Amino acid sequence: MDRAAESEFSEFMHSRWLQLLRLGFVLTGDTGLAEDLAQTALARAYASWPRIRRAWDPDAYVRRVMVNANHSWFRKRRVAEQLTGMVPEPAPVEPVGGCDDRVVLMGALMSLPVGQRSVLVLRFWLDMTEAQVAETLGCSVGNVKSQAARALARLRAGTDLGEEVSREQL
Amino acid sequence: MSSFDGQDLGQAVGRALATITAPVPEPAIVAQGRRIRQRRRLVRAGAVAVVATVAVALPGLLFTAVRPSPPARPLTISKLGPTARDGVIGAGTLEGKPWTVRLAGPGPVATAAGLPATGRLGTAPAGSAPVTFRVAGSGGWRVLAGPVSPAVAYLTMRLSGGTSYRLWPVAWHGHAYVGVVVPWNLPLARVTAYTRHGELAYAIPYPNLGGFPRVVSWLRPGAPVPAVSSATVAHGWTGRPAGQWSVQVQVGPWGTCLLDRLGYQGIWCRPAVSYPPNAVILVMSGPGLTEAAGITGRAVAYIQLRLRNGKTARLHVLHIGGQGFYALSLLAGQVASWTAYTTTGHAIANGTGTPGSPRSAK
Repeated sequence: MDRAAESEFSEFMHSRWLQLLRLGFVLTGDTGLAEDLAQTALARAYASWPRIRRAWDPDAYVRRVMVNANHSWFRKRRVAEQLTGMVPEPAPVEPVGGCDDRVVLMGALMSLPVGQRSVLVLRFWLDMTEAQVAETLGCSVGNVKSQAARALARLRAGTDLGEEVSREQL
Repeated sequence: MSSFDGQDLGQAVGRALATITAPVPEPAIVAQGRRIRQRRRLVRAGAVAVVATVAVALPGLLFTAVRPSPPARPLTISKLGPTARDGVIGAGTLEGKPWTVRLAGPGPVATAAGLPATGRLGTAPAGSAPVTFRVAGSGGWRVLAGPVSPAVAYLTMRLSGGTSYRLWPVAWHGHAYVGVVVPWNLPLARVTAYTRHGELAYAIPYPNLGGFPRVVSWLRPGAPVPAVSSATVAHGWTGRPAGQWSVQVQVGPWGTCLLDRLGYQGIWCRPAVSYPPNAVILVMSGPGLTEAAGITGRAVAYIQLRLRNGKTARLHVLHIGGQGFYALSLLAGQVASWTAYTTTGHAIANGTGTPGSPRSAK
């Protein structure tokens, strides 16, 4: 890779890092895994940079790598983790405050299946169109619509969550 | 509960995620990327060796296996009639595939097959600009469209390699527009607007790396081209682990652009205009964004902040080419009010909330 391309990639990496890190956190629920995911996506982008800067949208490329890598890691984690029928310890109920709203929201998001969570985050946080989300996730637009509707319905149905998020309206 | 929708969710998620930060592990990313590339090269070399071996045995296969793909065909733009038919304001081919740009609805928005629609274009360009472009797209293509001033006879887009394309305005519902489909990484070096009698104005786009070039500011022919300068407006630590932040400004012939260097929200650009001496204008802001930054007039030397926790803080204003720039981290504490001062300590502007936000100034 020549110096101009290296410099261009460096700019791209620095400008997108936080977005990818945060996307990784929403996908995995773990900051360590989020960093790994973002790093993997950017490393793959680096390996293919001369090609993707010419013929592809780098943002779409790294997002797709992140989503696919997470799906693949998730499948591996399911095998590695021991599933039990009981929750080990109930979480203490905290009074609702500015910071707690975030905890409630993130907790509710994390309770969604990874597919629904991915659709919600890409569609509403990254403000992507349904077609872009479908392209990133490698599924149909109809599938994106139905996943988004189901996910929103689950969030609304969650205990107190609808009110929490309504209070969050900015 | 009934008011909860996806848009609220997007904003709430943005705010919730704003505290998640970490420094870019640049050396690790580059090293991992190099290892991936090296592995691919080895795999490719192995594949070539296999193909070559088979080709020796089957000469006819060699031609099929290693024939290079035909070169991509360039962008072509057709000249349409003066008035849009069925809303079509642009047509041509890109990489051998036909495209059309069509206007629809009030506003209107521009659409092209397979691409998302632009935002509302409006019926006239902003201020005295010959054209105001809006960009939308996904994958490798972008729609570029916008309203054109009635004075403009045509526009040219010159690429960094020297190739030039001409765009002819097309009338739709009494207003002129141009629309074109281009590759996302179009190396746009200059856009020039012409009247029937000659050159009207030109723009040197901001070279937005990783995104589409931004056409922001227009220069009159013969006017001096502003020099390029770049500086860090402010940077710091929020006190949280890995809470580093930084805002940069880049001034040049494109206008003024503020960059959230560690953030993802990107780049905020404004045309090069003369601001009142006491102006304080918030430019970089948005839901979920952990930094704010803005432009001031030449008389503003610093901005004194009063935070909601009762503390005070002073924002240094960086001056470049007759404009001042300020930036602050919103994680450090919520701003209750602010006052802008001259070098001699005279208060010349004040307000509540984040400095320069539209509702804050008094």
